[in-house]
Amino acid sequence: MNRAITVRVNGTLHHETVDHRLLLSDFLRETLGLTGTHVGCGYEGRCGVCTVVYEGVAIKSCLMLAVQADGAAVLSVEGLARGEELHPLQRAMHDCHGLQCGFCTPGFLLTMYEFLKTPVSDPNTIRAAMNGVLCRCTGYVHIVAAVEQAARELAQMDPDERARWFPL
Amino acid sequence: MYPEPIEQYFQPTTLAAALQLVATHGSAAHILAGGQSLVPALKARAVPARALIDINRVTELATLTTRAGGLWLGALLRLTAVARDPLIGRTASALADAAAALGDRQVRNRATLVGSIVWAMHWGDIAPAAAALDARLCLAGPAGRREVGIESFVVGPQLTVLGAQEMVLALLLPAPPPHTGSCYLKHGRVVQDRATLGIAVCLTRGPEGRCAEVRIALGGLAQHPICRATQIEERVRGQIFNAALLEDLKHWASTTITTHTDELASAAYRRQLIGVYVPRALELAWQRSAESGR
Ligand SMILES: Cc1cc2nc3c(=O)[nH]c(=O)nc-3n(C[C@H](O)[C@H](O)[C@H](O)COP(=O)(O)OP(=O)(O)OC[C@H]3O[C@@H](n4cnc5c(N)ncnc54)[C@H](O)[C@@H]3O)c2cc1C
Ligand code: FES
Ligand code: FES
Repeated sequence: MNRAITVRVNGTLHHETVDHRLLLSDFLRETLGLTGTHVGCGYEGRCGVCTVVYEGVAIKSCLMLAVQADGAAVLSVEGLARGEELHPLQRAMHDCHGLQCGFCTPGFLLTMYEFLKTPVSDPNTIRAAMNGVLCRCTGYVHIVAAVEQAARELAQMDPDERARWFPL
Repeated sequence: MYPEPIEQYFQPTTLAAALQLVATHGSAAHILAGGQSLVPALKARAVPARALIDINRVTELATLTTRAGGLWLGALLRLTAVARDPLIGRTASALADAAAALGDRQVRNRATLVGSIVWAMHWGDIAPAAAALDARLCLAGPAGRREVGIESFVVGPQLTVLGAQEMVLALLLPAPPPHTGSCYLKHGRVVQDRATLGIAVCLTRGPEGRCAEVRIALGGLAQHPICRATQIEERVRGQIFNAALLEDLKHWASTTITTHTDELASAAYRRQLIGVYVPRALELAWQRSAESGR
């Protein structure tokens, strides 16, 4: 009931043998020790704090098995910054007070990372894009403001510089 | 929560291999598509987890093609793609609306049309939209392929005619007649919630401002994932489409459709929703029928 898999996480290849039933969220947290991906649900897959970017799109890592990700590329919150330099969206979350306890923050960052590949700063479009992540602290207003700021900044960058912030 | 131990996990890359696996292991295995219904059920240990046949690498199933003027929507088309596709938007707006209304961004990035129809929850968004568009499903098994209309395919809540050794290859939509419009509207307590009421309408304009043909399917009502509103269809078919007709339906619809009380809403509230949403959906489909297509 085990299988050997190879998954590229934040640019690094990992070869591991995993139980079929291991969830991708637990693979990241327990097997690889990347605890920035959070888990907030029992089984429902509603809270969105486990969101990662899988093959370029935002998905809930608690609703996928690790064996399914064999050969795939995953980006988690640990892969967003470039060294000491925060991703424009991370910096905007800081500037706009987009977090309080921070439990939901990785989910918002990775969901809106995918959204910001084509930066749109319209608040209603932003709200619609992020309704798959729940936050119990902020009331969302400052998170929307942060995404607006990041969208404006990214839209002004030259395309090559912008692309460097979106490796996956 | 953890699923029970999963003894076998298969990851076929061709349709032939997938069909072979379903034929061999079908009665003990689940087909795993987007996993947005199946994985929560496995985690909750609501279904046994013995074997999984993961079809996500079967690229042959991820295709959208036109066939005899209609659409062939492969079983691996994700809802994000369905909601964004200009051809589906133009010729099957109800399906694009339903795909966009289901769940949230991350769920839509994985979930498939077919997975939603096979799971057949009474509040599902996709089945009513597909029924209004008169969709069929293409199934394949050891005995070959067969096509089944969606209203025969979905027998009841969480019940379909899919055989243990069969899988669904695609959802098929007929070519819409000219001057056809459709839509799907959903009312939930909050966004990304289950449908307290879902309504899909597909209608075709006739001469003299009349509604030549109409199909209405409701979701969110406890009896069945697809509730065809045939009495309302009869009242609209052939009539001049105007404000008076819609006003008449407002009162009439809410008393004609059988509804229920559950944890989402009371029957009285649902009746009121029906009175509001039946005319609203008809009007939107009528507007869209002016742009021809569907
Ligand atoms: C947070 C969240 C919100 C949701 N919101 C909604 C909502 O608003 N509206 C709604 O309708 N649903 C909602 N859902 C339910 C879910 O998204 C849908 O049921 C989904 O579309 C299922 O599709 P899937 O591809 O993920 O199917 P899976 O979970 O992979 O499979 C579902 C079932 O279909 C079978 N199956 C899949 N593909 C095939 C095939 N090709 N042939 C034969 N059998 C097959 C599987 O064996 C399984 O029994 C939500 C789910 C989540 C987690
Ligand atoms: S842990 Fe809540 S959606 Fe994944
Ligand atoms: S900041 Fe605490 S849950 Fe969002």
